[in-house]
Amino acid sequence: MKEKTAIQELIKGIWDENPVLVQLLGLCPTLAVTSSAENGLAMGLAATFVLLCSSFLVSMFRKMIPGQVRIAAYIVIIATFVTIADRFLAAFVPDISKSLGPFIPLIIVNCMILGRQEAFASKNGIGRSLLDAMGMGLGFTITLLVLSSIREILGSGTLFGMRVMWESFAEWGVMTQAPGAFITLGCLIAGANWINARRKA
Amino acid sequence: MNSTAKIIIVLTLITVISGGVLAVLDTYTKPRIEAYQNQLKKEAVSEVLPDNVKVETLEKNNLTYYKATKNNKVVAYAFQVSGGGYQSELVVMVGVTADFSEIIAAKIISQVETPGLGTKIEKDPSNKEHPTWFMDQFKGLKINPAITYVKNAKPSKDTEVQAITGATISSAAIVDILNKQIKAAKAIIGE
Amino acid sequence: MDIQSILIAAGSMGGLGLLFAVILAIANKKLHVEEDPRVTEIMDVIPNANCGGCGYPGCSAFADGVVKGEAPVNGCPVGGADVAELVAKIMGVEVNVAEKEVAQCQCQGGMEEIAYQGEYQGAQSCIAATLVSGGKKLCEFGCLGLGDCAAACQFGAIIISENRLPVIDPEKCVACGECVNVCPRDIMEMHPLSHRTKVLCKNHDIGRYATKVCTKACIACGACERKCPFDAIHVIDNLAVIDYEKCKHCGLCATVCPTKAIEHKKKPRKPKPIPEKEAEE
Repeated sequence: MKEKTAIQELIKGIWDENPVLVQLLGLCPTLAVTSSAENGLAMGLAATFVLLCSSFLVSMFRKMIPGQVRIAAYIVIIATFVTIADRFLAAFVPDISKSLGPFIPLIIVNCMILGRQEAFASKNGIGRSLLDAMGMGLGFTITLLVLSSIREILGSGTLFGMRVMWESFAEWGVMTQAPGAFITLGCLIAGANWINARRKA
Repeated sequence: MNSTAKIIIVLTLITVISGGVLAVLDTYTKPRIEAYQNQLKKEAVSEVLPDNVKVETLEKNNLTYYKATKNNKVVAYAFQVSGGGYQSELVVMVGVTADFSEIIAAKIISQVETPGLGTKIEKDPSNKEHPTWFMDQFKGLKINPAITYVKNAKPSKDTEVQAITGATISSAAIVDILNKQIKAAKAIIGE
Repeated sequence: MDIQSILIAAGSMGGLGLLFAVILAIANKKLHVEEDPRVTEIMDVIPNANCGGCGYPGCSAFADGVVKGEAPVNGCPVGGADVAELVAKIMGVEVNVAEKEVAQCQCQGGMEEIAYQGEYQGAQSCIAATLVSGGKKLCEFGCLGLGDCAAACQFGAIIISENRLPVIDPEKCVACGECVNVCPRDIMEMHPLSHRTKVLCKNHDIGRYATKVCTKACIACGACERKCPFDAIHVIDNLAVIDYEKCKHCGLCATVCPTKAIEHKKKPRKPKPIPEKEAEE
């Protein structure tokens, strides 16, 4: 395979291999917490933090961790960082921690994160793994932000809690619910595929 | 080093380090988290009790309650009640008069109900002048013989509240929790 | 800082870790599956495109197959000779380097050569067109020209010319066979580069009808069959077919073909893609 340049390594997670839109990984938090832009952003950043830290450690110790127990080792590393993120959110931004509810601990089993360790960090050097994690995390965060912004604007008429729609705008209640998440995500994936198809042609 | 020993050493080492790191972290964050929760509780307590009272925290039969006294006379009690809502546990701080006949105020401490529907019990964005109208109905509400709710109509009795359209189950859950647990608390505190 | 609570946390986590580590270590011993390290080594040198061109479900299955001796070391069409050599080195065998194969469109019936049966305005896909009426072109054996092969090609080796025929770039083609699989009319075929003589027609109509359908159709006249000094070309079911076991690529058949349905490329190895040039003649 061709070596990617540093920039390509970073960019691929944002578009070409976007974890949500292309790889369809980590959909549980994507669907569950994106009812408001604030939650989407917080979840994205929390996942990025965990991804960065775990990729760093996993790639650093990749030669020391025996293959037979690598999954167990990765999960413990990921779980440690998730707990750190969870506690920090609870201590410093309790409101967000409250609204993200049980989904922060669930980052542990977010397949995007374990997937990157298994597919990338365990085979590449620290620098590359960090770039990869940064790109994937950014891609995840941006996608969640877009998704949650659409849902918040249409579902509650607000963005980051501020009213952006006109006064008489009737909120689309369904957008704040699970079906709204599926519909919006479906439209986003369709849009991404459409753009890719046009770019190729 | 043979592979068996390596597996055991590496995995154990990772878990020990992980446990240690988390424990250290916990000592830093725990006080903050607890302080925040206490503050929330304190705020809620002062909100559901009358102004200018002395608040005392007491505990009896596993029930933590707050006794409000004014000029050495008990004027009100506040305590936390909780129960199942539509899809989450509802936790409500409620203040009642000393004779358990009237609710002074009730405030929701935590709920994760359906966004846009059940969440209206805490804050109803469709009612712009008065988004907290649902819980405010409990102010001064008579408890005996029992709190009831009506749908799509203004309450006509002094023990009645109006349920939220689209969130009947959440509304009813609050009424039910208050009915049962205020009586239970009365039994404990009143002893 | 509370040393005791830290010790408790680290101890309990460590205890759990130790317990699981022991379980895993035992499992590792008892349930050990002897995996040939060569599988991983092969995985590292093959392109990992998971295209399936080798006939295996994916690259790891192919690597497995090579180690088991089921798949040839040069079985990866995408990797080509370079990869075959690396794989052979891992396996410790000599490669007899397979000849590079290239996809070939076995039809010359572009918009200029073919007769029309009507307008086709349906979905622009060969498969869709076959399902309805067979598209615009009258020939029921020929290329539909709607580009399913080009869309299927992951390597950008096929483009559809203005004459509505696929043009294959032999440099880019890795012989993965996707276009062969996807073509609803089986026009696409894989041919080694040494096959310099080809019948570029699939029409089984009798000559009288075939001439009406396409100016470059094989009309089953048999001239090639009579001319061939090696008995390598025969008209079977109204279509000339070359037997590559016998064909010496002398090109005599191509010279006598009245409709130029047979293509013969001169020796200089650099094979030019057939399409546009041919079509313009």
